[in-house]
Amino acid sequence: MGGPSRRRLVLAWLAAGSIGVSACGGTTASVAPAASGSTPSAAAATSDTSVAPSSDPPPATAGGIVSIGFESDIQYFDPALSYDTVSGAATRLLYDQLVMYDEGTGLVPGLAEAMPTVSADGKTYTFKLRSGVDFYQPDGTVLREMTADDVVASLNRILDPDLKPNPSPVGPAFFSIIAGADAVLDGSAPTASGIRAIDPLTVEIELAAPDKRILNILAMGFGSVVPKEAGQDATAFGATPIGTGPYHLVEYKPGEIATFARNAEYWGTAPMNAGAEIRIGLDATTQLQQAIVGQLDLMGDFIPAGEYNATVEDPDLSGRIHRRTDVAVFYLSLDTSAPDSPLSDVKVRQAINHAVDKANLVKLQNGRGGPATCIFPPNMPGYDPTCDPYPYDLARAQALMQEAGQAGFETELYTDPSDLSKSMAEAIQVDLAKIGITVKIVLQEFDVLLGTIATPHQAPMVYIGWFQDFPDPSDFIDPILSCAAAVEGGANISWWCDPAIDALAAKALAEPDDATRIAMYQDIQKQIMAAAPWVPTTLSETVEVVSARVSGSYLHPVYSFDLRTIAVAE
Amino acid sequence: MITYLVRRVLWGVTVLLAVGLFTFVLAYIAPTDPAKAIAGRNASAEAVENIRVALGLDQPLLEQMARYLWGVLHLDLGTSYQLNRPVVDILLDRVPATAQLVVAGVLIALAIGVPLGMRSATRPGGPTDRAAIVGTSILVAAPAFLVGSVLLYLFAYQPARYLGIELFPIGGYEPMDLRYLFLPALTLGVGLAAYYARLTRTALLDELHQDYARTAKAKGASDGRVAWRHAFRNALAPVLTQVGLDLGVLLGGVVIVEAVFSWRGIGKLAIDAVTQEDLPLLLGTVLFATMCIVVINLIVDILVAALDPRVTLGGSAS
Repeated sequence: MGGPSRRRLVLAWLAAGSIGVSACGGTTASVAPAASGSTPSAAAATSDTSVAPSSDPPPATAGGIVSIGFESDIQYFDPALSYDTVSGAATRLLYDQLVMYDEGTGLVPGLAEAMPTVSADGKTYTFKLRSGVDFYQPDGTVLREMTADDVVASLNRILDPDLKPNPSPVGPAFFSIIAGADAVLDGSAPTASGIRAIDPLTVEIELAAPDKRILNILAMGFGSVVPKEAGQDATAFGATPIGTGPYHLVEYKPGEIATFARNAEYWGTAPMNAGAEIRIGLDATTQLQQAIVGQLDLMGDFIPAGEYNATVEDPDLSGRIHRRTDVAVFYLSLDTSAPDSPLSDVKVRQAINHAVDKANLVKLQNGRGGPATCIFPPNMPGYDPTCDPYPYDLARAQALMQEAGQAGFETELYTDPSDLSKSMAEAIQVDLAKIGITVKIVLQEFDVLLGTIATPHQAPMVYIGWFQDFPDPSDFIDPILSCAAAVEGGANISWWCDPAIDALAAKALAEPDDATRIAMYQDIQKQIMAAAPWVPTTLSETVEVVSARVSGSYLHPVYSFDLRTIAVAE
Repeated sequence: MITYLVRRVLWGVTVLLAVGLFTFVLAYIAPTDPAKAIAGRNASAEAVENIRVALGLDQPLLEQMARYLWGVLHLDLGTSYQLNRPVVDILLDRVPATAQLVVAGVLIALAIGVPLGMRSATRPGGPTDRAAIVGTSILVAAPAFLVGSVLLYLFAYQPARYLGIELFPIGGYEPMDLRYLFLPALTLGVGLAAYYARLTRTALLDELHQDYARTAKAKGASDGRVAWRHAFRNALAPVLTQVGLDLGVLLGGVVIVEAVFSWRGIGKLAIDAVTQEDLPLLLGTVLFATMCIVVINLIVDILVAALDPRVTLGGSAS
């Protein structure tokens, strides 16, 4: 993807994720749907996620105000539109969803008092709502209690094609798997037949076909429950946002600051601080210096590349460096089906896989993240640390080129002009020269690049990243490696299409048993890797500095930045 | 005088429209795709197309341009892609910050530059003069981002980190707060001060060689009195004119200073607009800067006429 800031803008709000940490982690016993009153952070064991430094346990009654800095402004306070990281940090404070994430990618009951019951055909999910959950207004007073009608209205609102100023470019597609959603999307019905309030505290969601992604989709920010009065004007609602979350918005000064205060009677685990500030318009260097001296608590943008080494090696700052391996993978995409292209030969693609020195690529990103050896990254259910079909092996690569009858050829590698992407592309260029492939690098601004690579067979090679929409393995297969996505404007930039894999992926979507399902995805991953449409290159790691008065962890694998769980000494 | 004003205002509007058109065309032909930038990679092709239509980007250039200019004439600069607010509102929000910075910067520049220039001029070749020439050469050449970063590092970050003294905040903006204002204004000011010092020196030396100055001196007035009471006022006119003419350069400096200090003004807004490919916002900041230059030049012309009776407005001497 693009340079750090651009990447932030574009990348997913990292919603979602579970389908059973129990299955993926295998060892971690999670998701104890538990009695009512259980709270997200209490209910489930954590998976192997964020590696926050060990810090003192937060004080029981934390009273400080935590601050985070961002370069970009908050685009939306309305969860129906929020999908960038800064808006995500804000909406995480204001809203809750039916099901939510624990400290890792495990799903636990949120506004539902327990995980839903699922009908035998796998299509109908029934949620019992918590009673006594209040909506808070911007002045901190209670609007009223949440009911099933609000949930129904909120989910229909995501699908509403008349939402002002515009519907989200990404949100509605996720919810289109609900029965009757298509009719709302095309404007022929006001509400979806598959979203029903059974009684004031029971909601039923019926899918068009069995699809295990639904819980992750409901846990996205788009699945936030807002009052049914929210209406079609998202700008107006965003100006006075009302949610069930642990905070209300006290004040927002565009371009400057958004201030949040804790709601006294929040239904769930109380936040570990009395309030939060999102400070806008601070560039990354300013954030870094302010965090080091304590004028700011948390960084929202990356440590600038030029200051990265000095910062992480600074002994004064040890214990104040927070890290998270992002649920994302960077890769070199190879056009597998261009006519008369050497890349259409699987042996050539395998040779390229063996020829790329990933250890060197990791060095170029300051040792962050580590090498990517397969499709699913760590923290993604289905991640398989043993999956490494193409270790660095120049001799093997040369042999494969010979087997393919290739003496060498010229090709083009497209990426964005950020320093990191450029140096990655150059390193790959050097690696591939060793097996006779002459690579010409073409740099395009990120948005232009998106257009180029979505045009069939325009870019033989692309260096780019994929960030999760939610932590379900389907999110790394269907949108980027299916036949349906290998179309003009689609995100399958390898133009790789195998109907047999598509059939397996469709079966996996509907598979009710989590363990079986994960095994199916691991099998899909192996088969795709055998065909080598990609060279997975590196993992992405977020590294930040926090102020000395902070304890707890805020780099969440799904919520991106979670200010609920940060305590500050006063 | 009235005719002159009318002519100048009409000319100003023409300049605005021309700059607007030019920027619009530049933005249009630049290889960017705002719809893709907004939607991101995880969006479907259909969603991107919907955004393109919603923004009117699917329409032909001339139509988009006509619609934009029609809006400009009604003081409607469109809606920011990224911030979803009217560009005019966003600009107005940011005006106070930039105005404070510019005023403070110019005041610092004048306060340092003019006396320094005068001292140099009254004792040309003296130690002050020579030191000033060397010093100002360096400061004129030093880029604002360097001066700003160094000041920030030495006077804000280092004391806070190693001495535990918060001398100045590390960037940011608070309305009418001198602690926030000082370093950015100084950064902007010293570069300009060097420039004004040289300007004042030259202008004053010119005046001191005029007959009236010599006469005053012959009548027994001290050097200082000749310089301050007689020549200064006359020397000020070219300095002021130059201040007006240099406003473009000054605004350029403001962009850099605002970026270095995370100062939430128009300059930072312009940079954000560029990096986020927010075309309406970018056009808005450009038009706003143009308007400032047009208006300030007009004000300076009027001021200079008031200061120096030899200057008349409107061309024909009355």
